[in-house]
Amino acid sequence: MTSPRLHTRIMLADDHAVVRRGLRLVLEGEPDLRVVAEVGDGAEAVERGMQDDVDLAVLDISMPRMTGLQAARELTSRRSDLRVLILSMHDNEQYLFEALRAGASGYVLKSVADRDLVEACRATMRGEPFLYPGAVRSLMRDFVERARRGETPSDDPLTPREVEIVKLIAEARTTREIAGDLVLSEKTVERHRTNILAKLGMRDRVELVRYAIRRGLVEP
Amino acid sequence: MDIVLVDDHPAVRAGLRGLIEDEDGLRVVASAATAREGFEAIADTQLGLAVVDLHLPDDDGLSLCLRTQSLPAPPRVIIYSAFADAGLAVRAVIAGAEGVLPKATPPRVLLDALHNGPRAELDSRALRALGERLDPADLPILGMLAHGVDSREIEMTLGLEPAWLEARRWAMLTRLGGQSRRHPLAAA
Repeated sequence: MTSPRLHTRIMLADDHAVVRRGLRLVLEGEPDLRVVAEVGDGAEAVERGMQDDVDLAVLDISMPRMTGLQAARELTSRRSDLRVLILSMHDNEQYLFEALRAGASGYVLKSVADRDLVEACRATMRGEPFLYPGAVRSLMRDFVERARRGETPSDDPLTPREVEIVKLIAEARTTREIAGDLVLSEKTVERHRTNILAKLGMRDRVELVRYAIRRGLVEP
Repeated sequence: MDIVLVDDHPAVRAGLRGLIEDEDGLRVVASAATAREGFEAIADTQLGLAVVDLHLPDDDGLSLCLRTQSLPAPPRVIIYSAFADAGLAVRAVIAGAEGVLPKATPPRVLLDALHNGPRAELDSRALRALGERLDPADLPILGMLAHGVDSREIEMTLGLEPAWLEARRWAMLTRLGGQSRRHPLAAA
């Protein structure tokens, strides 16, 4: 940003209108924060978040069509100046690590959103990460464990496109629907599916659905 | 109408409060983040309406609901949940709730339900499926609850002591367990 703006322009993404309303009330009590957009799923979040009147995207982790994590990945790779916060009901390390990998600069628990969200927005806009105390402990423990095992952080075995397809399969979409959604041929979707199963060493959709739940791609 | 909100997520409480306060005839008199605080707030509010989240940090919303039904002035209770399905609706009725509202309910529909009750018919297949897991002696109770018969009338019809009816309702909820929340993908 060339000139400092007086307020941060925020996009809220959550599939529940009541939650969006509550978050808006929390944020708009602050003079330096303004909600300029509300969306109800991850795909809409990507579309709206690409517009440059949004400085900060606050994304719920579990949303239909595209999760908050997928939207975060998409947005941060396409708009380097956009900041992203993940809002989550899960106090869970795996989700936290995924959020950071997806380019989010903070992870806020919904159970303490009234206390933490405003501070998280400000920290993020100052270019600082925001993590709740338990998250910092998890990250440090993970780091120490890895260092002890002489490990370097492993990369995701799946490409972002494959992750996208896993979510849609787990949402019980048909090959035809997935092909339509992603503008691919059905053959390509089939090939992705085969590759995903091979990479993960899995046999069928049931295992894939379990994997998708573990990774937070769909709600249990 | 006086409303008590019980939900552990502050954004949900703030959102509901905002929505309700714009509506004539409804007002939020208390909100709570745990079942314990919620019970106290409900007990203080005579004959109000409670909107109760299913998952609370210290208990589940159904147990809270059933406990409030033995208060001198039992409140109307609506269970508010992200995981609403036909089975939950049946368990909610056993707990004495008026019904279940999914968290995805659009604001206007939600406000109408607060005024008039959620008015959703129970799914007969879910009712049968859950009924099969109960002690057969409890089926008349389930049947009457499912048809909206109130506790006093059930007690009189079946010749039960109030404490006994309450005990049977706890037993039914326990049998149907918290784990009866079916995975949305399980049928796939």
